Amino acid sequence: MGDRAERLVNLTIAFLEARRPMTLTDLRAKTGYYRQADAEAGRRMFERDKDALRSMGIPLRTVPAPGDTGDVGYALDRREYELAEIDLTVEEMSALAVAVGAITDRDLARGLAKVAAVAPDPQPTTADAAVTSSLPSGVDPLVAAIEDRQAVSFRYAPSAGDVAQRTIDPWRIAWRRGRAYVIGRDHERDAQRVFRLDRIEGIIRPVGQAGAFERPEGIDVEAATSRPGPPPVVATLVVDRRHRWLVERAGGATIEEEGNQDRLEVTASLDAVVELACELGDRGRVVSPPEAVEATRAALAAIASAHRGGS
Amino acid sequence: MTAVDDAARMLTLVPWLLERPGATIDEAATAMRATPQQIDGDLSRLDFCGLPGLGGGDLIEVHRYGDRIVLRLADELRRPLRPTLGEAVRLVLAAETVIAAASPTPALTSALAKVRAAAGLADDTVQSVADPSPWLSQVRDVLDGGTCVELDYQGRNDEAPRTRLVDPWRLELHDGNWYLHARDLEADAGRVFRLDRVSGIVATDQPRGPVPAELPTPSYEPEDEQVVELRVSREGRWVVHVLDNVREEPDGDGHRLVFGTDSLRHVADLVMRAAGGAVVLAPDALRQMVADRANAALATYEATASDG
Repeated sequence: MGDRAERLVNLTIAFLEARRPMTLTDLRAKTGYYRQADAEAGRRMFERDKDALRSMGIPLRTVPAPGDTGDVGYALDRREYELAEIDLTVEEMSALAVAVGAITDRDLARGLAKVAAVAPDPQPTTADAAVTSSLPSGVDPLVAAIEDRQAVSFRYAPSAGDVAQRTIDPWRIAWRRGRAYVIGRDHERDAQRVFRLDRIEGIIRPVGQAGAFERPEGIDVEAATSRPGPPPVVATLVVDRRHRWLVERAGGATIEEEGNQDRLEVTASLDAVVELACELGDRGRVVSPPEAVEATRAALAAIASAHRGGS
Repeated sequence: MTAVDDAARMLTLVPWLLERPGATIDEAATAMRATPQQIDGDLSRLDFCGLPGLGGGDLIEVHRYGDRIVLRLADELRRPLRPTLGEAVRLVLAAETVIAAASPTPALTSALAKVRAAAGLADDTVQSVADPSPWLSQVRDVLDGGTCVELDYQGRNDEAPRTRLVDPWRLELHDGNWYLHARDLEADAGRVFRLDRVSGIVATDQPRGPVPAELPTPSYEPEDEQVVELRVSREGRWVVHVLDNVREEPDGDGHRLVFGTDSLRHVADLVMRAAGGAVVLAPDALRQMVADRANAALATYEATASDG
């Protein structure tokens, strides 16, 4: 009776062709499958196939069968199954194909192939895909929960602090510098929080009912995914020219060049200025504001004292 | 490949072939990102697909004319299955990454809007933030141009940035950092450069060579490794996220980190940047290096203080 892939395709065709929900009995008659002598074995086989179809993204609905049999039927709505009209132009399809061409990801490749199936062929191009990225894992359950407005629970390891179980109303996925974040309302703190997906440990579980909350509008995604911190200070540093890039990396701009020593100004939190000045060591120094100079000196003294003598 | 993967591909292959009667197996393989053997297997199966219970009257017909393929009676599958949420999100994130790296092209921006709409992904479910990154636009210009470049780069083991002549291949965004894949022409080997350790880029007139098909993922592969032990406070625990392959154990109200490195200088940079949040337990050479740096730095502040 053919192999499993063939059976899954046939099952899909049978559901698409049917005008009404089908019970397992209907399917047996229509497809010839699941007619094992042991009816229970046939039912288990169908259950596995049904789960496989759903894992492929086929929106199979479970509905009560007609009459009072207590049986269930399964329905596949063609409008939910089919890719909606997309009408990509040749230029759009080409741009999309080149853009994602260098990224290796199974789900991405599948999604692109589905869109490309009913789009014009991309123009042959000699341009190399210039950009690639790794894509985050664990997005699917969060996106589903955002769309369903259902709370989720997961274990989270913050950058500083201890791993803990968190429950949130997920509002939005943010994508910034190759990192994915979820923004939502933390139940325990009853306030907006942001979580990095790569710091979520283990599985993400849906909690409670769908439609349990409203997603607020006008979330400031840029602010939410920025390092929180006290207001920045404007610091001046003097640095050996060869190491000026270290300050420029932190957003510093040169205000004066003097021999091999350059004077740069950087706007950052006091902590960030102290970290930068400590990393510079004797290759440069912070000269203002006084509180940054004092905090740097204290941090350097703490490092020196913690590393005094053998271990 | 599992049966589920094969079935998913067949449901996409059918509408692709219906749109392109007479396409070849190789063309289909390219479009499906599959091998010609997989497509050939799919076609053999599809010839038996349809409604078998109706006694063979309603099966898909696969006609092969040489290496060209025509499908008939596959009308139930004329449209592809809608991308799953996960597939749609990945398409969006991949395209957004390219948009973040370069000035967006109108075609890519409108393609992205159409993909979101067709996949039923609301505009406010996934949102991207583009950050200007130092050197990024210059590297994009270099990749769009046709010449090699002189790259000033701070290597992990170098005392100061050093100039290298490189043939740029591709940009990669990986875990919060941009990397440039390129051939180092002096070493005559592929190298990966972190953009935040670049201190200058100058174009040359030397033409670029071809880009290899497969580029390795940026990852740290130590050659001559030493084991380092650090103790980090809660404030210094971020250090764990910038290191690879770290063993981490709770230690009092902080953590103990054990990892390998080929560059004590690089770890010393990290410990200094932690500004007291990280303390070296071993090796002694690294303890000494950090102590020397902190004392040398303190001396510059003392000297300035007495000047003033």
